[in-house]
Amino acid sequence: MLWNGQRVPFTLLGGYLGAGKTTVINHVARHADGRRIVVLVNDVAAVNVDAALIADHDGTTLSLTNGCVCCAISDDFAQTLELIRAMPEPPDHVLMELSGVGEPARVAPWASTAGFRLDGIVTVADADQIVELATREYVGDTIGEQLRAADLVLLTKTDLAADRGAAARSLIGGHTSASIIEVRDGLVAIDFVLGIDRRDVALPSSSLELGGYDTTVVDVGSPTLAELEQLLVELPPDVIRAKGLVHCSDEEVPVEAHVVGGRRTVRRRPDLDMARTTSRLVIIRANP
Amino acid sequence: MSESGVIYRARSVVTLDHAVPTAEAVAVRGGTILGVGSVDDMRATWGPLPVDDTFADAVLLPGFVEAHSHSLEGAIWAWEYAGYFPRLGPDGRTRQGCQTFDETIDLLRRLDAELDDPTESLVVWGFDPIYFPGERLAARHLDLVSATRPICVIHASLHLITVNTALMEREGFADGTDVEGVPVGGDGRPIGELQEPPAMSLARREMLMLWGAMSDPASLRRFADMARLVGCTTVTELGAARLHGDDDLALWTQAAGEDGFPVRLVPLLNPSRGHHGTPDEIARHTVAIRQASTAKARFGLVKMVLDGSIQGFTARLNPPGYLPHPDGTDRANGIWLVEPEQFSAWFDAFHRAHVTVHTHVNGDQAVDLLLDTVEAVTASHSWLDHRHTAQHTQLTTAAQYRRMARLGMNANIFSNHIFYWGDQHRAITVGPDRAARMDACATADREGVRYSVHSDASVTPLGSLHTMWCAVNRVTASGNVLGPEERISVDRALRAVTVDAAHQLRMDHEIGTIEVGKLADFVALADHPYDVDPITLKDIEVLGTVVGGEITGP
Repeated sequence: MLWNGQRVPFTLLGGYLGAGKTTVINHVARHADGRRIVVLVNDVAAVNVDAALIADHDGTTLSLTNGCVCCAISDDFAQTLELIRAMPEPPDHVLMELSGVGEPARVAPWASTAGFRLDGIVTVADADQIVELATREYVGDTIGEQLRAADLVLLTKTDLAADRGAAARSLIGGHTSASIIEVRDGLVAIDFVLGIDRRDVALPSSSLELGGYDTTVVDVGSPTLAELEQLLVELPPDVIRAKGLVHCSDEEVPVEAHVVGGRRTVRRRPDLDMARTTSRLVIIRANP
Repeated sequence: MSESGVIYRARSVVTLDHAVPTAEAVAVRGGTILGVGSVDDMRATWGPLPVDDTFADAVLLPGFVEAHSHSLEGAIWAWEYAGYFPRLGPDGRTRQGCQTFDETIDLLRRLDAELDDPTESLVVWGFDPIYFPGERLAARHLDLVSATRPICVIHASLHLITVNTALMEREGFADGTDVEGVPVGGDGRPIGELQEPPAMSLARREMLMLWGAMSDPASLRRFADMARLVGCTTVTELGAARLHGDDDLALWTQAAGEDGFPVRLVPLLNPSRGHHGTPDEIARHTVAIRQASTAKARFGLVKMVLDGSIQGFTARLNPPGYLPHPDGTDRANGIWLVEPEQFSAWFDAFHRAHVTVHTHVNGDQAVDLLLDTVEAVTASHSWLDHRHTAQHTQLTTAAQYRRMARLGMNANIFSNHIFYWGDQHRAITVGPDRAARMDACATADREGVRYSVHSDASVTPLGSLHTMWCAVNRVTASGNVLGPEERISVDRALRAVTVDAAHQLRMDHEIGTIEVGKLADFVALADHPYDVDPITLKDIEVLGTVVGGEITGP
């Protein structure tokens, strides 16, 4: 049986041309932190990482020294996914970039086929463009579908379009109740893009959409499991989401921590390796 | 055929050349047409050429040109046919079809007994559940054939397969899966039906075999044999194949280079099939690979796809869009396959490089985007003879055909749809009014657009006489006439599948009519298409073909 029945989390990254998908992908590829991520992209040439990070490049596949692989997608998903299934060891995650007119809900069934499970749908929206795009003649309804399917919306270029941010949020809110996270220069904590884990974590509701967000990465050291649980309970109320892997002093394997709204969960991850993960929490706080 | 030439005498030679519409015979030498006229006149001019009377009782016409087909038509015949209707195979043998479940099971048992390796999959195709309304084919039926050998029945739509329990056990989902499109029975276990490509991919080995067959030279040979049997002398692969590296090109040139290969192959390049680089780089590549063309493998045209299909509700429609769901709720519009900006950038680069672009546009909104794009590229670069072609054009309106005519474009109309899905279009997808003007050949004529008609094989079976029959009669599978005002004459339909098809492939100076100097590609028919009752057009027997002056076939 393929990979002994193990199913690799699979994230779909949607959004129109110029929304900032490639910037997000570049950021994820550079900051994989030991995770072996297969990134499926429309154009491998657009992936931009330090030369030192490139192990091999054959035109359609870019292998990185950090264990990540960027592959070009052909328009046949079935054949593209078979290339991943042919890997002797399953990767830790698959991140697939959709085309600018890709509708995530229609592609999503692929993310649950043999060897994979759908982790989440992330749609990237450009604050400067999204309102105009959503009314454009040919693609307006496609933009709406991309937002409607999202578990998480990354709003980019808010620095360029401060005054348009509110209009963009309002438009997005009209299509989806998914969380909206502002990102600058693609700098989104990758724990949020990868690991939405839609199986058991409901994302914050639309009531949290107003106002901006601050994302911080916190080094929590090596608490005991009990200390970690206490720490999560004591997080300030404006923390709307937190997630990370923590190396607890009394555990042999990494512990995954989740905070979603008022809900806190921790669970042991025996499938992950202490040596290949970093102990830290990523925290998103409302910043009205 | 001797180098000194030969005269083919026929009951009648129908040239489609207005200057010399009919003749007694045609003389060929070195693969091209030396003369058209009487045997005596041609001998007086060219000396005592031998007369070949193979087609003495036949009507000889220009070989049919299928301007929109796919080599999957040949790939799929790597496995046996299990459809409802009789169907001709590439070996020339007609399969009688399976009209009952028992016949389907009997066929599978026979094929099972022929396989030596007990782990080898048994694959058949063409099953159409629409003709078995009482019962749904399921694993429990296929398990009667074998409890150990994986069995996979590919449905006619290519969007559904039914597999047996042995296959589900091999892939580990016999007890269930969360993959979308896997219906379960009362016991909660999958019944064996896998709906749509994501679920179909659960039959991993069988789907890999199917894709593998696409790049197998034997598939191209079967495709060519199918073409020969239905009278086609030139067929296209409209962009499902990759034409990137030398190996991709060699697949076509080597297959077509075999002795006696019975057809000319025209594979089109699709830039979204693994062609990476700037639009200008891809356009230069398309021009460069023309140099690799041979007599029977021609490169250098482009195919792009804008939207999906009407029967799949994925074509892009203008308002009012699709009819509502049966429960009254609205249906969403279809999908785009490429961003308008990317499409425009590619189109512009091809146009400036003088590469003719064929674009899949089923829905009328997709046609609007194509017309806007062609208007923009032709305004920025003048190339009057571009022959950019709108493919399928199923819902194209008169106003759109007028724009198409002004922009110098061609159309290739999916006439076979009228027979195969016309009833469904009337009842389910767009309703009787729009269905009546679907695939509107007569409107294209009225508005001055040159067009071909096509099968989109293997979506519908390859066969130019059948496609002509659809355009001429517009009869649906249930026997109704859909949109009688859009019917065309036999002569118009014949030109559509010969010279006008050749025109949009930029080959009308070489093929499409029987004229001195052109390639000697002919089809021999048992009856004259102008003389038979048009409703029997599809039943005219194809007696043979000639390609490059040589009689094809075994």
